[in-house]
Amino acid sequence: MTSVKAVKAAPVLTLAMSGDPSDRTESPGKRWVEDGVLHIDVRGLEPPQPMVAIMRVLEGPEPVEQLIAHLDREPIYLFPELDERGWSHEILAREAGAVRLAIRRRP
Amino acid sequence: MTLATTVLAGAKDRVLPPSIPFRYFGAAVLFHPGLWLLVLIDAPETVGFSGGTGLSLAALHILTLGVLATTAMGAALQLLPVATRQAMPAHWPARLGFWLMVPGTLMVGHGMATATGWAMALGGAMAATALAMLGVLIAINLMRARDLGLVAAHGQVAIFSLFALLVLGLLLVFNFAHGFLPDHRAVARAHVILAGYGFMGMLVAGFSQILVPMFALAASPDRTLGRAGLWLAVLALALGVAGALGGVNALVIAAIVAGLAATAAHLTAMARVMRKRMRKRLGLSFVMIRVAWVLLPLSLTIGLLDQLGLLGERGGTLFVFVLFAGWLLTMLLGVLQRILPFLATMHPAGDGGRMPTLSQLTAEGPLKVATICHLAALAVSTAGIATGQELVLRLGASVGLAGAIAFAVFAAPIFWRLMRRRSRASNPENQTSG
Repeated sequence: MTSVKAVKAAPVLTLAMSGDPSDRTESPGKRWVEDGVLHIDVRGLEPPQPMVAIMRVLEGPEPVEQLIAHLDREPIYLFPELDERGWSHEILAREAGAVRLAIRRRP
Repeated sequence: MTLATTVLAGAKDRVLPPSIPFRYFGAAVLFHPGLWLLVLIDAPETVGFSGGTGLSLAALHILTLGVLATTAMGAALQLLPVATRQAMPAHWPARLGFWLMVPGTLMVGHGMATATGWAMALGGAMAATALAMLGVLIAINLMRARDLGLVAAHGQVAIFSLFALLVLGLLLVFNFAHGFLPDHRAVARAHVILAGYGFMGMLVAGFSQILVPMFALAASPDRTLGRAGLWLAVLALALGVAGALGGVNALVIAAIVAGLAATAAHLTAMARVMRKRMRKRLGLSFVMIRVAWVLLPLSLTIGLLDQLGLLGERGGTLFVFVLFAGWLLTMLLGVLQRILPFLATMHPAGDGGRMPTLSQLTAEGPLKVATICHLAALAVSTAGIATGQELVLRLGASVGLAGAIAFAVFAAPIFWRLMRRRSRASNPENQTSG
């Protein structure tokens, strides 16, 4: 059974990232939890915002072990960042205009 | 098939074969020491350079064509298809462009150094053809882009400037032999404005809208400021070219004021991006980029003071040096040291298929030497030109040469890795199943 729980895009994430209390801007991308795994949908965002939104979730104050990202294309410039920061990635599905990417913390 | 190759196979319409952008980057890395070597040799002429053929003019074009334009070509070919989500219409013009650009630049440099008209004309035509082909590729790609309004608009102004500067550049080259232009210096001034602030400047401003937030991991720049900066820059370019060609000093001064306003809008947008960035440690590349952001308004201020007659006979040389060797070279070296390892990580070495990490491909030691030497060379050379001291300029050029060699030492392992990959890819027996 699939459980879906919407998660409000949290300003607190952005605040913690920037370290600047004046930066209370909301991080882009719709987020939700499905089967205990956090998802983020960054389709429709202009480059480099999909990459920035995903990194904000991964490197935010709330620990994340796995993230499913929904994109409208393969984020080829995100992969070097993920490798550098100790995350593995796997393309789960690729269709015209839609890519589902699993990102996991490396052991 | 490895994950890396799977990824690249899926994105092959947007990621060019690495040999295409990297051959342009390689040319830039090799022309870079040539620039400082020519300045070192010709320091007595360079401090008092006021136009005409000679080693100083050759050095300027080794910088603009050999280093700046080739870097811009490599970056545009690699980044634009990804940013616009549109594949380049064809790869062969990019390959052919390289074989026209590099020999053409060498021939232009030789022709200018020795005042050989046919070499200048032939080399100029080759380089102009290469740049025109790139311009057409970029224009087609931008026309197909459905979004990216601000980046595409900067690109369109850059391409328009490119074609205008190529026409003026060819006129100048043929004028050395045939002397048909009524005012060679006026056309040269317009050519400099279009090359520095038009083609290169607008490309830098456009790509900064994507690259700076991508490198710093930050929100996109403010669109209102971006649009204001763009339109002010277009106004500045139009006024500057009209003023230079018509010999109307007031128009050039108005252009510089508009250029300073455009710069203020652009830098304010960039400052906001930096304040809201996720990545706190930005590394040496952003030392260069930040210095470049200071040098952009400085170049305009020097241009303004020169136009007002406050800098004496060396004002023009100082302006050209701070514009091309200062702002643009510093900015592009900063970007290049970031994107060389970044782009190389997207292409596995073929020795097991695993992508190297950014830090594995970044040789910090040579990069530190290159950065320190470049910044020191700029400061010392600027002082040498401003004071007319050829020995000081020679010292600056020597330090710049050392920095350029250090940059080549930083870049060499990255190129070696890609060449090894290419060699393995062409010989499947050497590949492991990894």
